[in-house]
Amino acid sequence: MEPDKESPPLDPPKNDPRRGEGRREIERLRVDRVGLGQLVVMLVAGMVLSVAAISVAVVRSFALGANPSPILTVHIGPWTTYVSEQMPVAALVIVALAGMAGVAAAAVSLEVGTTLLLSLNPRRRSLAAYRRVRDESQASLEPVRVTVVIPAHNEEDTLPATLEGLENQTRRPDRTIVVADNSTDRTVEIAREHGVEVFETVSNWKKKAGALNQALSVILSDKGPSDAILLMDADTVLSPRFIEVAACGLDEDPELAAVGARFSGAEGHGMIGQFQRNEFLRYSAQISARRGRVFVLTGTATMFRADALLDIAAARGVYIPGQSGQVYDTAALTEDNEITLALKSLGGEMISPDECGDVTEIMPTWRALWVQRQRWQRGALENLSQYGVTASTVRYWGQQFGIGYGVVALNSSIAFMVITAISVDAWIWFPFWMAVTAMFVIERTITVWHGGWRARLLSVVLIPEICYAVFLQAVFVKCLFDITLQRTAKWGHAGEVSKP
Amino acid sequence: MTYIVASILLPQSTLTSPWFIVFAAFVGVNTIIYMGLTLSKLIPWPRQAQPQRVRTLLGVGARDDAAEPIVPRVSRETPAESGVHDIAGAFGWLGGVVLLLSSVFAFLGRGNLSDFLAMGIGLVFLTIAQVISRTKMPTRRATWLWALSVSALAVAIALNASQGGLERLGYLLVLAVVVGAVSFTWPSFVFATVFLLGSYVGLGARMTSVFNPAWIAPAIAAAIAGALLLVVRRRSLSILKDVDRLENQLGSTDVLTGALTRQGLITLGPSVRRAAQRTSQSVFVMIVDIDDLASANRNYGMGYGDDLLRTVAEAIRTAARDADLLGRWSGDEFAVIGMGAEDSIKALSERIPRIIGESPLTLGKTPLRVNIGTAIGSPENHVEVLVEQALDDLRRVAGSAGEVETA
Repeated sequence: MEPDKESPPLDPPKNDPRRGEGRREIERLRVDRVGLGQLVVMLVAGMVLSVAAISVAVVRSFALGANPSPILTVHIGPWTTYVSEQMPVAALVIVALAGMAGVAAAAVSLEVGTTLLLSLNPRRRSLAAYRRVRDESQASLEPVRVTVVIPAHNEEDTLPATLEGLENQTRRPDRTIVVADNSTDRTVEIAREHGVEVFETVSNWKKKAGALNQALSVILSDKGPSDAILLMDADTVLSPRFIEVAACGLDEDPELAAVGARFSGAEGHGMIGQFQRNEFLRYSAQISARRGRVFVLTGTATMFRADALLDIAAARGVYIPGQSGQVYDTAALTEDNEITLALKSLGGEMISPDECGDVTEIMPTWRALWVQRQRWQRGALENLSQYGVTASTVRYWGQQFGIGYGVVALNSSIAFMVITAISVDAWIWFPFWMAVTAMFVIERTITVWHGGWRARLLSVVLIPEICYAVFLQAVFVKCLFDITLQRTAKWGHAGEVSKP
Repeated sequence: MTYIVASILLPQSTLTSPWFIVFAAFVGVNTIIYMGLTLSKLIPWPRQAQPQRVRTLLGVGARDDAAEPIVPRVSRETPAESGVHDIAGAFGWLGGVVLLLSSVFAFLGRGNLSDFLAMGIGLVFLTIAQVISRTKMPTRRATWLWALSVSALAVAIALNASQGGLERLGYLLVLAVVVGAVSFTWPSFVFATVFLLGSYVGLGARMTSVFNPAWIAPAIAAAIAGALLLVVRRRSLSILKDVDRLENQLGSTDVLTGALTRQGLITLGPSVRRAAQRTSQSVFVMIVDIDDLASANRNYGMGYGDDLLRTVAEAIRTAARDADLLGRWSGDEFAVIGMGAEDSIKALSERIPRIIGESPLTLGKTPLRVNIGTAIGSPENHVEVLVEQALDDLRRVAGSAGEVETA
């Protein structure tokens, strides 16, 4: 659909046939909640069955277990130990390596392919017709103006550090606005002391998304194509080049819609803190290898082109779920995940460069972590069920399915090790399998190398991190369980804001 | 077997029961899937394509001019960094070749232990490639790592070849081609190639017990193939490095800022003097020094310091007249040589800070500032003399500015 170039309408036409069609499309794609839980469970069960069938075939065709290999007795000084030279036959190893390469190639090409497909059909351009009339030819030559918007709900402890982080930027924002949402502490005064503007929400009970909608409806009203909005949390400190690099990216690529942060965890809180920091480090390393292809435009800090936000507001209720005219969908549990899906569905290009990092608060207790992850997980699944299976969401469905399958895979390998351990007569070393395990450990350690010796130590001993992985899987299982039983989801503890 | 028959909970026979073997295979297949996914997280992906570029390539959708980048893209990679990427690439290539060759050997043979060892070495090399590119390892350390790894690999293969079949010498030949192509760029590593080719010829001669020229022909072919690959490489990967070196040798333009180098200023300075003599004007030299560039480099990285230098050079270029020469005298000092008296110096020294002040770059909380020193003389003076006077003036100005700040 080509935009009407001569006279773009000031408001979306009320009787636009596309509107009704889009609604029906959304209705059709909406999977009911029970169905969603069952869908994931069925997919996982199907995968388990097919892998089991492959396993049986492998055992038959390679006659595994027919000839147990001899066990050598090795004397090292006064000690005696047993070593087994057992390892798979060469052909099996070749098949396994080919399988590995196949899985990797499939994963990469699926995503690169869908991104290419999406860039062919940028729905966002057709939405330009809904925007106000502007002299775009002149405006697009200017470098972007950056407006920072910080939603804050009782953040007097962390807000000063956040604002000082902005002052230390290599390129300063042109305007900073703190959105004080139902704050009962000194948030407003602190913001004023730092000389930034304050926007106070009026009777907002829709959490962060509601506060941002109120503020953005005012802020976006005078924004043009060369405006960028940096939405960031009040407990987040940006890396010093964030604004400079993100603004430069928006200047250089006119189609770039958003630049997201790579978050890392703040120091402190001992082992539970280190678990989360390691998790974030690996996530960041993965984004690096993917050349900035970002999964979620994190709520901790993301710079949007103002036009992209206007497009989202215009497309809500037509192409994407939500209420027309609102930037954020207030029904979503994780509004940053939801806005990422919204932008992707509209064909928006997004990136997360190496220089754009931020440091954000981590969960201090297991209880808080449980609640936070419960919300992320539940939010991700619910958002997906709203958007349905499309080219832009297929990788996210794959991710959820991967987590579900991971539950089976990790726990069965743990069971395998436990059964082996309690059945052997004596401790036997298997050099081949030790080498395979060492590869795991090396990979896990390299990916957190930047985190310092604590991160490396936690990663080298492996077992605590496996326990942490099991904890995260428990969150997923609980979440599926809740969805299936149609329990209502809670936002989480007050003041906690969203990350993916 | 003499070990004690006393398992902890389940009988040892559990481990050989059919269901357990299927279960083990199940875990194995899962592990392969997991490793494949992990691999997809580690291998470098292709750069994200600009949607407009994709549409243009595939001929889909109308071309729009707005999608053309307004600001010309400047490569942020310095030659030193690209050198590190070369080494990482070299490790990646070598690791890939070793992995592929050893897989082929393992498939043809019956899975010799040394083949799996070689596969392991290939994987280790791939890992090293990742580490170098991720940690931004210093070039010197990376090149040493490369030299040692290649030498160790050559020794391992030579030992293996002297015990195993003749076909294993093929390893050495293929490695010689790859290593040759990569190493020739760094003169100190030519020895690695010579070493590989030498051991290839030597081992071939020793294993067939006769000196057979048939071993030497492939070695020469390998050397030629290596040289050909080198030519291809130089045209693509290290083009930046070559441009940099060439420009510096010619001594005219500073690659980073586009200003003249010191050598360029000294070479072109007399032309300004001659022009001044003809029109009987005086010659002035102005030195513009960036305040606290070292702290910018320290706090925000060398890349940011480079951006500052570029910005300041651009600002001076905008402020100066077309006939003025702009050069980079030293690390953070720019020199402008031009014709004119006090009034033109005054106008210029007011314009430069104003234009710099308009740029969005800062040094954190303090704005970006420059100190300016000037000198005027008759056209008979040598440019270097005027520059010395201007530097003295600069030190005086910077000194008094420091006093004001501390006061």
